Amino acid sequence: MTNRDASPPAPPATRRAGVALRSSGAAAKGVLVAAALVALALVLGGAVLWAARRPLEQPIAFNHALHVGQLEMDCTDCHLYAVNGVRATIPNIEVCADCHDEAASESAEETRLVEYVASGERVPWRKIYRVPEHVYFSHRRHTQLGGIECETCHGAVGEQVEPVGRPLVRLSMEHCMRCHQDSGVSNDCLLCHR
Amino acid sequence: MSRWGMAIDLDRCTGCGSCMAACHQENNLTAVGPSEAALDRVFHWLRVLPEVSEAHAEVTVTYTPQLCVQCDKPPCVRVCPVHATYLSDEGIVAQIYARCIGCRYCMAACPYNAKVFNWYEPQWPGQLQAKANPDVSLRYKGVVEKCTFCHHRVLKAREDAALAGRGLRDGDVSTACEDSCPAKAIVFGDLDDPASRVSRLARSPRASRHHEDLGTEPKVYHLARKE
Repeated sequence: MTNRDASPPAPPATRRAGVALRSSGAAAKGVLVAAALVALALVLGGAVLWAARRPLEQPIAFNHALHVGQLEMDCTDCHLYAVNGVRATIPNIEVCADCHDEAASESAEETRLVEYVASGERVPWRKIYRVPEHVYFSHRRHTQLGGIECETCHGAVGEQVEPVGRPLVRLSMEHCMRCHQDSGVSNDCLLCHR
Repeated sequence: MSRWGMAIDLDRCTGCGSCMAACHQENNLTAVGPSEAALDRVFHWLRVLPEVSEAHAEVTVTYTPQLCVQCDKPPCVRVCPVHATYLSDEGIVAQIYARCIGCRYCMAACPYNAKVFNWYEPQWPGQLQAKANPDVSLRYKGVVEKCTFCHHRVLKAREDAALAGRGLRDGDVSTACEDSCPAKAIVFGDLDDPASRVSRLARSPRASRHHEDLGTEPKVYHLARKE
């Protein structure tokens, strides 16, 4: 009986201390988890930004400067329908084969192209320009009817020795609207949005 | 600048429904299942409504193709909080899907029931998506869509005319429903051109417009023999 009378005050004290200890531990854990999440977000964000900045790698190191500069070819010799059609094209083996059914040089890149042509396998070019799903863009309206040069929207692609892995001109709706305004073309939504 | 309009001759219409089918195919409209259809969530930009009348023990059925009437004073445009729907320079009530927030105020305001809402991500079973018309967008969940008077065909036709070194002529632009109609009941064209077929039909004594009393000034004329 006396033992029981003497003991009660002790347990609450230890219990209180235990609760305090546990809560500070939980807070520390919470901080750690938050820090880990922030670090993870930073790493992921950085990776995304880095990936976005990195140019796309093309399967063959196509030299635009050689074709346009030295050989004096026009963009539309290979990019068919850029003037006559609504949608321009990226040339593939059917177009390349006109000149490259046999290798014309010692170039390793050309050898690879000739292999593609010989095997009939299509070159998996990476597309670097993409018209958004909700936009109607007609090439012939701008090039043939509007008299706009390819370089206005695509930049000096013809001077590029290295393969083009990213758009040289960043196109946005603001870009389109400013040009429309400057050249006195309507900016009615329905002309471009579909 | 043209002001696009349409005339539909109800005395010619046989109710075959080919205009509905052509509209579906041309404008990448999605198909819904029977359960959604029962909730009146069917996708049509154009509907052929039958009307049955009985007189002197004789039952007659008349059909009325109904689509967005492209009002000159559109009630849907007034209520849109984000300017996603607006009256274009050429009189087409446009719906800019990238701007639409799916509030459906415009659907409530439209007296013609001309707009439909994408309750779900639209689906094109099998190979249907590969057969989609590339000139028309594929809509997505949460936007309101409507008839555009085949505006993509207007753009194409104007480009073709400019390449031929001339302006648009009557008959250069035709809508999908007009092309498909075997009875030639639908005529599309420029209402501002007094010589165009559509403006001549619009002046016909048989012509009338739906809900003219509302003051919406539609640009779709229905022609029917008056009793």
